[in-house]
This record gives sequence, structure tokens and C-alpha cells, in this order.
Amino acid sequence: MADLKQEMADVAAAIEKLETQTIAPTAPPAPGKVRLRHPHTGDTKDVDAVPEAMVPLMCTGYQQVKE
Amino acid sequence: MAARVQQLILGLGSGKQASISAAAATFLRFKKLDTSLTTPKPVFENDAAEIGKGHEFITQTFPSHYDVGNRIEKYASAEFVTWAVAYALGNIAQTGSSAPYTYTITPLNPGTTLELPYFSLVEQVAEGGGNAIDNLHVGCAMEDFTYQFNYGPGRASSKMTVNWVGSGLLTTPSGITVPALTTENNMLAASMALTINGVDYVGSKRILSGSIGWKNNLLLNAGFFPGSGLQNGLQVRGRMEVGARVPSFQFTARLLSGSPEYATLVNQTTGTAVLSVQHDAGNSVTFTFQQMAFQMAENTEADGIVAVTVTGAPQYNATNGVLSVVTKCGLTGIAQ
Repeated sequence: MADLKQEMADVAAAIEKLETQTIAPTAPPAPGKVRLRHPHTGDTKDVDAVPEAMVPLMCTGYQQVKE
Repeated sequence: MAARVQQLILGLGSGKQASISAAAATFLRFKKLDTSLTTPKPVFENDAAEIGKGHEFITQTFPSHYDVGNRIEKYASAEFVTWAVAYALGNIAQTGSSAPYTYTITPLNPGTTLELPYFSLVEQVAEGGGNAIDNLHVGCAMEDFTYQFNYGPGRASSKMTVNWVGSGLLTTPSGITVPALTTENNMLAASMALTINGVDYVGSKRILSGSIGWKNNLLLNAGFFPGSGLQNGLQVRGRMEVGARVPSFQFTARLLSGSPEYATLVNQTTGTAVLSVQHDAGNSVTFTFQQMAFQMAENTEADGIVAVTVTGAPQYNATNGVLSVVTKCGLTGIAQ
């Protein structure tokens, strides 16, 4: 019972810590790059902002993300 | 009093709508060539065919739905082609920190969504101190576009036509202040570069005319789903999804000794088809069919000159898809 209480207290403390954390802003892609993300898998890639690099990803569903 | 059709003020939503029912906040004002005005058509049913009335005549009518759609025919400018292709294909990436901006546009992937970005459209015609027409159509989707090029002088050598469909959602009066006319950079066919299956049709001075098209075959009836919504007691669409999409490409070129079109057709040779047209370095459009075979090659004539008209069969390339379009123009935020 004491273990369970301690575990619950740990979980509560972890949640509190998580809630107080400020989310670090996501850095924008480097100049000359574009950020593409797949809306379902969440996979994110920064690729050169040229059609040769973008089109193969975009035609599989990746979409531009503007941070 | 009366109003001339040239008084039409046409505003096209620049940014995509947040949802099918949320109107766009920014508009671009364009000129156009066709004289068609959009009518928000309320459709009513009646009981003429129903049994038990004692006669075959109408005794009652019933509200059904709104049917809205129209076409826009224009000389092809970098700005309008960007707008039209972005909303017709659906997956848009805008890059560049200042003008000219580059738009890389591909067809949406049906594994992620079937819904194209929705746009708003406003039509206003001033008359007698008020407005004869002042309608804001909300939740519109692009049914198709056709880019056409022809030999001959002037802006008519390069045109863009679109057909769009509305959800039926309508705001009258629109309450929209449409901005000044967009400065357009027209792209004459004389600026064209065209390479199909490794053949440079401009370098050999053979190309005469042609067209590039995309049709979404929108599932319009499926937009009237249970709970899709009502306006004035008539159904409006709550979604518009793409059906079986069809890309198309056709061109007519002078037929010379050794012209390769027939051999390309018979051998079903495939390759890229790349058409570029521009106003200047900062205003351009490049259509790339990633894998093109020929479906038909018919001998014909143009102004008495022997020619061949080729109908292409765009194929899906495993790496690059079927069609990509890269445009440059000074406008930011199109379909963003």
C-alpha cells in the first residue's frame, strides 16, 4: 500500500513537472530548406527547397509546416 | 438603371479557408474573359410524378438544395495560374522569404485526405447606388483547370480556364471590401519551353498548340450527407471530396520527315513532359508530367500545314507522382 501511494505521488509529481515545463519553440528550418511533415505519421523532414527534393515527399502526402 | 457586365468585381479568396464553412479573410481581385455571372441556384422538387393526387400536375413544391458553380476564363498570368493550380491540386508548399515566391504544387495524396483546400469567392456588380449582385460564396472547390497555348500573337496565345463548385453556403450582402485589381504578369506562349520524351518541340519550331488539364471529378452528391447543413431550408454541402482524378495533355506539332511521334506511340516509350512559360524570371510556371506515354497520334493540318495531334497518357511515376507544378509570382499566401 505504501509502495502504491509512493508510486501515485511520483506520477503526480511527474505530471506537475511536465505541466510546468515551457515548450521550447521549434526552430524554423535553415535558410534554403523547407519543413515537410506527414500528417498521419508525424514524420518531419527538412529538405532543400527545390522541387527535386520536395516533390517525391509531397506526392506521398508530406505537407509543408510553417513553425 | 442597369449595370454592364464589365462592372463585375470578382474577388477570389487568397488564403485557404479554415473549414468549408469559414470564409476566407483575404481576397485577390482578378479580371476575366467570360461574361458568366454566378447564380446561387436554389433547387426545388415537386410532386408532379407522385401517385394519389388524382392528376399529373404539381400541387406542392419542396426545398431541395443549393447548386452553385461557374467557370473563370482568363489570359494566363503567373498569379492566376498559381491560384488555380494550387486549389485544383491541393498540396502546396510556398518557399522564399521575399518576392518572388516559389510555389511547389502536387496533387493531394488520397491517403491523407480527399478534400481539397476550400476557397471563398465574391461577386459584386454595382447598380444604381447599390449592388445588383453582392454574393460571397463560401466553401468552394476546384473541379478542373485547363491551360491552353496556341500559335498566334498576344495574350490569347496562353490562357487558363477553371471550373469551380460551391458548397451552397452564401452570404448576401457579402460584406467584403474587395481590394484593387491584382497586377498580373501574363505569360505569352512565345516564352514557352517544351520538352516531351526527350524531344525539344520549341527548339525545332514544330509546336503549334496544346493543352494541359486536370479534373477532380468532385463527389458532389456525397457532399449532401446526413447533417451536412441547411440554408434557407435547402441542403448545402458539408464536404467536397475528389473522385477519380484525371490529368490530361494534348499537343499539335508540325509533322516532319523523321518526326518521332508515331514511333513513340507504337513503342509506348515513356519520359517526362515539361512545359514552362514565363513573363520574366520572377513570374513563371512549369508543369511537369513525371511519366508520359502517348495514347493517340492523329495526322491533321493547321493553316494548311501538315501536323500531328498527340494525346498523351500521363502515368503515375513511383518516385515523383503524376504531375507537379512549380510557379513563381509576387503574391504570398495563396492557398496557405
